[in-house]
Amino acid sequence: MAGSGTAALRRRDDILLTVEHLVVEFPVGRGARVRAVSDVTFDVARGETLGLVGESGCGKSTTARAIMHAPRPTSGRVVFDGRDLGRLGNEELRRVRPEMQMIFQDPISSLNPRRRIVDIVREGLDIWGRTEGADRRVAEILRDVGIDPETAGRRRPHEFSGGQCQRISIARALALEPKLLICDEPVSALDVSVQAQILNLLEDLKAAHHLTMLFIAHDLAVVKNISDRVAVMYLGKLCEVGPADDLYARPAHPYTAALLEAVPEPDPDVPVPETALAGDLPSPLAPPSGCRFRTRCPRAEERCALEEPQLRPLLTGDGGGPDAEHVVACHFPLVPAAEPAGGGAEPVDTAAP
Amino acid sequence: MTTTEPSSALLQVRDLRTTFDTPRGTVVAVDGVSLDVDRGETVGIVGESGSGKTVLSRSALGLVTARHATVTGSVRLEGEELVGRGPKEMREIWGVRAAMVFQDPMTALNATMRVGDQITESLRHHLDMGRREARATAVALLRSVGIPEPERRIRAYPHQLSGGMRQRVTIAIALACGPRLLVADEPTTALDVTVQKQILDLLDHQRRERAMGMVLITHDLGVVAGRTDRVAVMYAGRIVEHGPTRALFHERRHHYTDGLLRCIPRLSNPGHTRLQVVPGRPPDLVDLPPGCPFAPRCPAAQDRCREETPTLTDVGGGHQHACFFPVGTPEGEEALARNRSQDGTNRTTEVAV
Repeated sequence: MAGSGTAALRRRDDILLTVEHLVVEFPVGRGARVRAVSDVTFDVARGETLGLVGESGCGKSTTARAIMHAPRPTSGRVVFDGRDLGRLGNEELRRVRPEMQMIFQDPISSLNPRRRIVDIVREGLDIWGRTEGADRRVAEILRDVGIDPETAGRRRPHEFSGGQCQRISIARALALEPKLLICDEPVSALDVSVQAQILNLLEDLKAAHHLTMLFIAHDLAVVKNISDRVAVMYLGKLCEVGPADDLYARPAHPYTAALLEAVPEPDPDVPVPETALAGDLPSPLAPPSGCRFRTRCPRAEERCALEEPQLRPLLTGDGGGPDAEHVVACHFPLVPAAEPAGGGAEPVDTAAP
Repeated sequence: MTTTEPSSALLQVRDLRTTFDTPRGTVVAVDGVSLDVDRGETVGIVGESGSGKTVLSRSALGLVTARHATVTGSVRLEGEELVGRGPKEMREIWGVRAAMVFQDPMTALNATMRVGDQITESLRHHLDMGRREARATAVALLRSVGIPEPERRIRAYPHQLSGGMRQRVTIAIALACGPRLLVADEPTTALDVTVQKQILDLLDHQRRERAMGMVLITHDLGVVAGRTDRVAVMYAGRIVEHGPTRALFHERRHHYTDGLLRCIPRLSNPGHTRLQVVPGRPPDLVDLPPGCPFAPRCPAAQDRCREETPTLTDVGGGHQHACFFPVGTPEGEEALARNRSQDGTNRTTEVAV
């Protein structure tokens, strides 16, 4: 998996966020650098929810932070609402940031334990001088997320459960009326019953506040529930991007298929599949050559070690042409795909092992 | 199950009650639980955070030793009473006859010891093995839990291993002295789905190979569906429903079990499916009011539920539930319909998490 290339970009005029050739490196001592995100390209249209899935360490959260430019990525372009964030100075960037807000996995540690709920939610408004009517706005947004401002507003985070703290984090993020909400594993620390409440809340708020969302999670069922499109990441690269229902119905990348197979079905009549994806994520310090997934891939051949697959569109199910909405980076995809750019539209022989 | 009194049960828990004295009053964390685990079978314990599932397992194995805690009732392991034993006497039980695998492998392991020494420690202490024999056994154990290059890994420190590898090491430690009973407390909650499947497969394989009894504690009904023979659902320190896994999923009687199953996002649902929620949150376990503890959140609750506490009743086939108006029965449907028609007149707002 390796997916580089720009095939995941769509030609539409309602794109809010475009990420092109994003690379994030971190120094790891002795002059060595690790590439946490390696040439990732995708876009998110206005009002759309893009789900980003992958195992721990695949670069999901790093991608999210690089989009926020916190810190700035090593290279690549992030265009948000028509502005290339890389070209903005620090002060200009600061002015853009209220339009992109983030909520995190651990709701309790992301709230300042010493401050009252109303102050936490109000802080952004104060910083940006939107003090007129701020009290009313804070009360309104707290009510929107299901927290009663009268009884709860003057309390502090430790008096709330994890689910309530996540609601408060969401209120804080929405107080500044952002265009883009980035949710980094927002429900993985919560009980299933609470998780359902938060997912429903996010759907409601998305409609009411005209939000565009980037939703990061490792739970594929959760991602399917909330996303319009899903991008699957592996070791710093994209392997497959597509409309949620289509990607789950006909996963083209062996990694996507393996992830789907590993999800336990809450039904005792569905037998646990025999095969399991063997091994661990390889070290990103020395990623495998060619396709990065080949060391764990059941379909890997020699070509996968030599040549990095590029993202390319699948062929539509009805035998038509390439489907630009659903792209995969694999030499031997599970679903016929168009030849990489430059080649014809001949499907790859999927019968090959 | 409480119906049969098999002297043959590996673990026999009777009316176990664990309370903690706190400045706010007495917390009844486990309230009269009875449960059997046979050799070679897996029993799942499911519930939300704070339902008492972890305290139950720890009380059963004598791991609740705080001075402000009281454990009463009876726990028999292979016929031998464990309640009332001090830590010194429990040392012959821990590791040798009953072992535990915890949620977070990093905190369960000693960060300053090589993993090999953490395995040989108990081998040398309990089984009087010599240094060389213990080392050879440790290598074999690591190999049996699927750790590649065990001769080399035996010298590794926990931080040098991935999360999945660490959990394999804690399983190797738990299995070292050949326990008859293995209690796994959320063994995969901190892990990715792919690794979760590997670890659950491993536990299942070891249980069969060693004919161990296993208790699998989790909040994820997907995990218990394909992996357990029987399931007990806990709420507010009590077992509210208990039965063979298939019966529990297909003929569930308690509204809490029903709610838990309904709020799980499923891969088979189309995107943006509205999730059903269990409104509200678990009760405060200090001064639990009379009546069914689930009544305030129950869609079928009637006056009787708020006055009388239902006890576990058998409906045949080892399936028990504690509900006056069970799911799928005429009384239950009637109660639901009655509450629904009332909701129409005085709309109750969705209670925050």
